[in-house]
Amino acid sequence: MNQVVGKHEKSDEIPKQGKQVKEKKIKSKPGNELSSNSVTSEQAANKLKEKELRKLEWEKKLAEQKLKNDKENLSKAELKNKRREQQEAQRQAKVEKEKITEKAKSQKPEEKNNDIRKSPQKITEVKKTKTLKCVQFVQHLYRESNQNFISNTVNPKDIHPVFIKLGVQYAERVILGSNARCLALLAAIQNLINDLQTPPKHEYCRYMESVLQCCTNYLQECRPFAVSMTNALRYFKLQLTHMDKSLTDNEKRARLLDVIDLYINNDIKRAWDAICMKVNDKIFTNDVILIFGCSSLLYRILIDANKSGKKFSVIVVDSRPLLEGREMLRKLVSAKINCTYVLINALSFVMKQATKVLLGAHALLANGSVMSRIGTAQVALVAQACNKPVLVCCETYKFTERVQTDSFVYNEIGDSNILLSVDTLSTTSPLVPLKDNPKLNILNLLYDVTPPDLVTAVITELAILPCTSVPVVLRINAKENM
Amino acid sequence: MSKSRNTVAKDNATQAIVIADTFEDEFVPISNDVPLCLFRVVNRPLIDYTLEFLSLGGIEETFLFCCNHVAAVKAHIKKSIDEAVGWTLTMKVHIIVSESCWSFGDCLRDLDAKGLLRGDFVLLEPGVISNIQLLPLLKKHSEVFQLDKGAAMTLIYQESSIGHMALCPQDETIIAYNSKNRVLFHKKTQKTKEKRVTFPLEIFIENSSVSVRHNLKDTHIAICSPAVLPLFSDNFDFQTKDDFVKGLLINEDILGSTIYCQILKGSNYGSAISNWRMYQAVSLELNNKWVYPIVPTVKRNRTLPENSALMLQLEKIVIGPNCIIKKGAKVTAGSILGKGVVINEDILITNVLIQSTKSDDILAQPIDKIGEFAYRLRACEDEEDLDLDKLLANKLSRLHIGDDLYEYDGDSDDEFSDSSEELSHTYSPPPDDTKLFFTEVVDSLTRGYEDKLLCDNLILEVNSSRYAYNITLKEVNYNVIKAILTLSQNLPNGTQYFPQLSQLLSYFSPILKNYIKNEAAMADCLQAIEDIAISNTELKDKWVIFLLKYLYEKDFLSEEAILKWFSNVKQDSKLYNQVEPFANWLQEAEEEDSSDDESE
Amino acid sequence: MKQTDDLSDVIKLISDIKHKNIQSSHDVAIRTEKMLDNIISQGKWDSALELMELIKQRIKCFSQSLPDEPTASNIMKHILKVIRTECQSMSKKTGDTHSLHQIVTGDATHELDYSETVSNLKSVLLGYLSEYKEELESSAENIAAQASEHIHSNETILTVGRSRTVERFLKSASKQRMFSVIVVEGAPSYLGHSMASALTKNNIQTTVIPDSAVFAMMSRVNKVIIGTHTVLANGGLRALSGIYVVALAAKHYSIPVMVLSHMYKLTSLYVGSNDHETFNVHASPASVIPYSSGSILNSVNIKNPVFDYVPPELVTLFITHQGGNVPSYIYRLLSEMYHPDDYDM
Repeated sequence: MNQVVGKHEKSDEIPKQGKQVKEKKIKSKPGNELSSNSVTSEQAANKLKEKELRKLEWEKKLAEQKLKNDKENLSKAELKNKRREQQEAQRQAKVEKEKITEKAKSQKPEEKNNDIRKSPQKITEVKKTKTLKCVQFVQHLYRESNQNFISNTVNPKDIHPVFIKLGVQYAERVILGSNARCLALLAAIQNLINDLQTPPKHEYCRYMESVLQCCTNYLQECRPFAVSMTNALRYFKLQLTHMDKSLTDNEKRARLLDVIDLYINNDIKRAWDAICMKVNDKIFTNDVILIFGCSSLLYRILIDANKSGKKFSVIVVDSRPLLEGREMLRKLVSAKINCTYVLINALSFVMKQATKVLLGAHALLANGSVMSRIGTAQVALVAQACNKPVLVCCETYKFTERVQTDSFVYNEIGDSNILLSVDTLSTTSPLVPLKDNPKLNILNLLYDVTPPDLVTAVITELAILPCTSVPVVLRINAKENM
Repeated sequence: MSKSRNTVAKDNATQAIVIADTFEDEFVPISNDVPLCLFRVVNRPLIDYTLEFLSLGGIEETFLFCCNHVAAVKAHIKKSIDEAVGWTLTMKVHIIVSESCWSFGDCLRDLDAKGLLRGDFVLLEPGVISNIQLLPLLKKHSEVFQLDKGAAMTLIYQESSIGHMALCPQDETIIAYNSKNRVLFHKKTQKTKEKRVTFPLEIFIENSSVSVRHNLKDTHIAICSPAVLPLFSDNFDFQTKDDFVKGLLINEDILGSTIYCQILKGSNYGSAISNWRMYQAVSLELNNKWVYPIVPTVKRNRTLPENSALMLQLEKIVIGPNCIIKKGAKVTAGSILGKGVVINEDILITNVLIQSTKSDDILAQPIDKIGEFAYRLRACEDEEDLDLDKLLANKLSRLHIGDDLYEYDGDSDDEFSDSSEELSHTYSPPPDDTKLFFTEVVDSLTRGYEDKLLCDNLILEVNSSRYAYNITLKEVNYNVIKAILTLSQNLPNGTQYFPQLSQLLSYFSPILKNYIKNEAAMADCLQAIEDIAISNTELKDKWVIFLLKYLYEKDFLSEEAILKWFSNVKQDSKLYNQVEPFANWLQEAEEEDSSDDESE
Repeated sequence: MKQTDDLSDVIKLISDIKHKNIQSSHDVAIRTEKMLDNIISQGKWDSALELMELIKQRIKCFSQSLPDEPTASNIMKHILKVIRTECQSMSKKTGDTHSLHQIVTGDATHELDYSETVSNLKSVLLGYLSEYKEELESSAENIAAQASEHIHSNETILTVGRSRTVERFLKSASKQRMFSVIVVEGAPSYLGHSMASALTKNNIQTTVIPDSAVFAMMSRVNKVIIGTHTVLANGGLRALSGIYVVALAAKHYSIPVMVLSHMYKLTSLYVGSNDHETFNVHASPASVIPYSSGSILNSVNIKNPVFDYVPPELVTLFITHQGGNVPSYIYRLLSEMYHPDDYDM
């Protein structure tokens, strides 16, 4: 995987022209991770000697491998030292790069812009609104690349425009939430199925597979796949390979479209209905239900329960920086549900009034951990401390075989600038002028992992289960799909 | 005592003016007994909030301008000083009394004459509650003043949005300002019934960037340069702050003054209790801590009887001192009980605001009577629920106000006009100039009708005559109506008479609208009609009834006013016979109405 | 006692706090000390009883106007205790020794007569006050001086919001050790932002995280170091809201939680829940959701509590200028600070 760490910013917000940043491309072997931590420009990247880079990468790879291999053997402190070395290396690299950036500063900015336009592999529309800025490193974090959807490895000609649009929507967080993202992906694939013309001497399904691979690679670079998307995609590919080869292209198209429709209906929409029914049985009049953030499934559940005439109230807990809960609040209020709204700091204050905690999930991992938006683990923790039942609502298509025990093995890092903008303050944050200080990191993790012992039950379309039943469900599902 | 010792008046002390009285009759009849500034808002006098706000905001000297109930206000302030309430330490309060002032503008003219203000100052309209820091705003104003010597006033707005309870429809404003926050355009949208707003093109041509906003709540706080007071003195037709803003914007070149604005964000809050709706909204917002750190006083460690149903939701309820809640009564979350409220047995109170009033009105419906002196004042919850608003208005009106329906009726029937000439109609010595004034008005109107002049200009003329002869509002109303009616008598008799009369009346309708604004003005108008009808026997029989019908249909007169007036007309007079059928018809219509639908 | 006028000094203090002329609790402490000095040296009192009455009046006045600002009342209560002990020791000096009989039978009715005029009480008290003032001034330094005992090299420290004591503590540690700090931003007050900017300017490696990331980050933290608003009598904390979650998460990962506190933050108050009305303060909902959000505000209940209650079992250690203490020892410190008669005011 080619990973470049960076973050986006609207170009007009970039304060200094010297820091006007271009995308940086580093050729590296798949699976190699590179955390880059400094502000670079294309010039800078070009000037950076290949040798240096290689060395840096090698060190990092080494460190990483060591980390992975020796993880069990190493004590925590030792681990830390390793990481520190790694950081040190990154720091040095950064200093070097900054020197080069200094040089780059002296050159005219127009030149740089020209360079961008000349480079043929870039998607210029995207380029206009977005530039890359490298984020400062954060200690001991395995970092997934984020938001680098300008890719040199993918030729835009190979990508269906629907996917390009989708990619931008993912990266700009226009489409948010694992359900919405999955549905959007499936819709895009349907589009692709319709539009794809098999070139001569190609078999439709094979060709489809290769094109799809290209598209998904591109999407991966825009934003890593959600588990729901991976699962849906895997299912589709399975159907693709099992397709009867004797059929005509049009028949194949129709079948594939059916496959997707079926998936949407059975695995997603029916699942919602089933979960709604199951949760509805658990909501009683005078309940106070605490929810966190915004979740399409929870919204359906609450609206359904409200329609069935139960009188209950909802506490919406919200957290910065996305403040999705406000959207949820607006929807619930317009449905005339009695709501209380707090930020996550007041959690312990409102938890006593709550009778149940309902949570949505991004994915359920095989070890029973719940991966969800950052803050969920905290809600579950406080709920447990106050002896309130924590119910996680999750469709089984979000179950995954991956295993994760803490929030750092796999995560995404969001734009740190949004942490600095506060809409409820009349003054700007004192951190804004220090944004570029190397001593200051602003970390905006997107997900966290809730350990299974904090979750009372998971409500799926199949049954209400303990977290630990995830592998069982996975096994059954796998059998069914065979 | 402690005051004199602790506060040393400084020459450069920051100063504020608080106008204590509203000169409109929103709060009549309660305000007949209690001045607005002593209204209890969540069990504390309104003025306490205002003064605490000023003191915390950094003001060192405040002039409290009082016109009515001066003794009560003085006593209250003295009491506060004696008790050494928080603000007394850092702020000096002077009470300025002037019973001759009948408008906001008059107060400022009076202050100008007294010459008490030294520099930039803060000007508060009646009923302000806020928590903003004033010093930074004053500083900003003086910075603006450095760049633009004409800067007269900085208006303070708070970011809000339409549909918010505290954004009262009468205060809905559209303003346009440039990148330097200079106000280019200012219009109160609810005062006109127009559906569209016309912006002058120049403001877009002359400025590189213009912000147009409609989501602002007027905090009724303004930062003023010393030039503001002389401006009021020079332009005697400035009666309110809105007049001032409007006047300055129109005559920017002549007056050479400009207006700026500041928009509050974050936890800065500002509102003014200018009518019952705002009273309610501000009460709830105070209770919900929007004005933090200014909060209603809370007694901690209250003792409650065991098994009290209140226990559960105590944090959401405000109960004033000496409240009696009888057995079986239930008070649920979100309710505010005023001082001394008595709640009778088995009454359910949900989400309402209850204040005890002195006027034990016989009109009150038994349903709304919760206890002795306590009536229901429902909290309006949603903006969709306009009915509730009307309900509230109706209930209130039945309680104390007669009919002030339009105050709550944001969307229709709004009879306020821009230049609010309204003054309190209390008393005035009968001046000799009244006759002169009358003839002058007749002259103006005749000329205006012949030359088809704009009614707005005529209003200006009338107003200037009024000031020239020092005529009270009551007489102005009376005489203007009388003048119009006199004109009507000059119309040619015959079959064309009534069409021509209605043409005349519709021509003068802006003037009628300007002067017939409230109950009292209606009474004056009817008096004028009566006088003309009696003194002039030549008039056609149908004249009176036509006139009344016309005025009623055009909403100048309310049926209550007509009926009230009619009840005082002598039974055996000719006039009585003329009007009787119309009155009967009204009576029936009203009965049908009220039996039909409570909320009208 | 006599004139209400005399209370003007405490009213001045209250209004200064309200006007935010004095902000940090340390400044409040200094001012209170000054005020007491004035009362003792210039006030109209002849006996210890009268002096105590004067001070009690002020405590009452203060706690009525500012029930959430414990510093001043605590210091005044402490001085009450000092007056009592001084009287006791003086009366002992004058020869009034307890008989063995009295001690054995535990004659509780034996009370000192505070209304006696004690000649040198004034000078003794003034002497104590000046000592106390020195202690106040040095206490922050004393706490900071212990930093190197608690922070080791390469550690990751998590802190919440802004506390001047914590800031000094970390700065002092940074002179000797390399470590990094994670600052929780503490929405909706965002005090963490100013804390982070102060630390960054002092060249401490700082990471700012939103409140929601506390649990996720906690697995990588070595120590949690926080300040507090008040230390309650049972060893619990009244602290900035959001700290409860931090302490709970630390407990989940078995990470020590250290609380830095001056002695004057020790209160004789027992409260066991954070939604109790005497415990919490609600700030403006405007910092939770902007006022411009429109019509939904009409029907939504928005809460913005300022404090969190942290039970003593979640606190590992208190660090005061006298050194470290466990929460279960707080009762003892309390009885050293205040006389039991003054607990409830």
